[in-house]
This record gives sequence, C-alpha cells and structure tokens, in this order.
Amino acid sequence: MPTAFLFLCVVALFILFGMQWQKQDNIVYVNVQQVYDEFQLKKELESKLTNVQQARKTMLDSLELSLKVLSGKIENSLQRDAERENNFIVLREEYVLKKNQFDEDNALMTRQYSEQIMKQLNEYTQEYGKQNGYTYILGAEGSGSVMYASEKRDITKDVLDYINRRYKGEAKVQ
Amino acid sequence: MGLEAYVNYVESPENGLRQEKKIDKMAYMLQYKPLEYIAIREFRSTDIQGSDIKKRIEKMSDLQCFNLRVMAADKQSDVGRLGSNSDQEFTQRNTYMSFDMQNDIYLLDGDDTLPCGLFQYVNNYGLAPYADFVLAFANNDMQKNEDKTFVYEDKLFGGGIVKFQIRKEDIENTPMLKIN
Repeated sequence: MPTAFLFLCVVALFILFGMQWQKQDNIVYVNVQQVYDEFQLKKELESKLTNVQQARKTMLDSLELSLKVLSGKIENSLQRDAERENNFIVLREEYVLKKNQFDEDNALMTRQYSEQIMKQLNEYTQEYGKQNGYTYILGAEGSGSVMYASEKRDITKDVLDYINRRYKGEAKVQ
Repeated sequence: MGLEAYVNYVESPENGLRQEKKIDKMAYMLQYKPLEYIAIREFRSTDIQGSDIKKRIEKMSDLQCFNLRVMAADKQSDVGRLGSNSDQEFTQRNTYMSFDMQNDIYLLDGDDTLPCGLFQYVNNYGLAPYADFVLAFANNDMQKNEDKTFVYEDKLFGGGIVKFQIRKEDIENTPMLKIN
C-alpha cells in the first residue's frame, strides 16, 4: 500500500511538472518593433510611400521656385505690373491648395499603409501561434508591457521568417 | 488520372494549386487552372473526347489562367456592401471590380512581371457572398519552370498587397490527364 501510494505521488508530481513545463513553453514573446520594421510588406509600402511623397515634393518645389521667380520679378520691376501680380496670386493659391491636398493625402496613405501592415502582421502571427501550439505570443516593445522575459522565449526571428514567407505567398510554411 | 479525379486534385488545397489567405475581415482564394482543368470544366461532362480536350488546350496554349475569389472572412457577408450601406460606395466598388482592379493585378513569373491580360469580373448581383474574377496572363515559355507569384494590390478591401506563390513543383507534380 505505501509503495502504491508513493508511486501515485511520483506520477502526480510528474504530471504536474509536465503541465507546468508545458504552460511555460506556451508563452513566448516577439520584439514588435523589430518584426514591424523587418516585415517585407512594410518595406515595400514604405518604398511606395517614399516615391509618391518624393514626386509630390518635386511638384511643390517646382511651384515654389516659380513663385520665387515671379516674386523677384515683381519686387525688382520699376513699374507696377497688375497682370504679373495677378499671376503671382493665382500661383500662390495653387501652391497652398496643392500643399494642403498633398499633406492630407500623405497622411491618409501613411495611415492606410500602417493598417494594411498591421492586419497582415497580426494574421500571420496568429497563424504561426496556432501552428506551433502557443497559448500566448506577447509583444515586447519597450513600453513596459513585458518588463522581463528570458531570451529563450524570444521567437522574433522565427516569427519574422514565417510572416515574410507567408507574405511572399508561400502556402505551406513549416 | 480520370477527369473527376483530376478536377479534385487541382481544387484540393493540399496540392498547392488552390490557396487561400485570410487578412482581417477579408479572405482571398486563388485557383491556378491548368489548361486541361479549364477544358474539362468548360465541357461540363465526364463524357468528353480526348481530341476535343486537346483542341481546346491548343487554343489556350498562350495563356496561364487563374480564378480569384474575394470574400468576407465569415464567408457570409456581401463583399459589395461589406462595411458600408451607401449606394454610392456600392457603385464605386462595382466599377472598380469591373474595370480598374485589372491594373492592380500582375504575375511575377520567373524574372518577368506580366500584366493581367484578360480580366472578367463575374458579377453575381449579390446572390453569393463573394466576388469572382477570371484572369489570364500571357504564357512565357521561357519561364515555365519557375515559381509564379500572383500579386493583387488590394485598394478596395484594405488587405494591402496580397501574394500567392504557385510553386513550380506543384505545377510539375500535377498528374497527367488520362484521355481517350
């Protein structure tokens, strides 16, 4: 009887230890900033955004230069030229209008791209978590949400590899 | 492989020719369509002459074809009205899906970027909770043995750049069709 009881206790201890071990194993974390920065979609959209913003800036710079030239001509002319002044006003209005429009569009694009990045990032991370049987994947971002975690629990590289491969269109990622 | 088994093989997600991606509230499904598959589907019968299939395949030999299905992730909501009750937005979405969407789709075939050459929005007028698109790209013989990446830059449903990779192994591993 005491032997059987001892055996049962040992088995129970093993089970408890095993469960605890498994529980610990199911909680991991990723460095959110690193995952975000190194996500391929983020890089592609950032490049697109930069190109669009650059093209808009070039257009605005060109308008600004025209304005400066016209302004210089008006200031340096000895006689008042009503037509030139009128052109200046029209050009200035066009500049202000375009600048406001571009600022708004740039902000909208940035917001839309951020949303698109986060949607795919969340989706692939969830997929990764489910596939690997994790209960939690915490996001460490240096804001205090995860104060400390052992480096052994850091799966940033694995998650990054997974989400980039899924984004590229791989159907089966092991 | 017989006709029915062939169709089942092509449509089975395990074989890599049909893939699905869920992104937030949307789901995208891509079906790569070997020419034999298209011919079988068009004849809508298992009693087809091999010569008829061959003729049809020859006619399409310069194309690589896909079907794209866009649907709500819950697979119930009408994509035309998803997240909006405005008729104006519904019309804008339909116009985009009918015409402009073609410009947001391309195929990375080896080193080539192929524009979507043939595009057809299959409008089901809200009777089904998805939007189907029939697509074809030029067939570049030089790149036949490369992976293909289908890219849809989603400007309507908020999914961003959606990519599907069709591996050359999966295309090559497609069984031969047994025809008379």
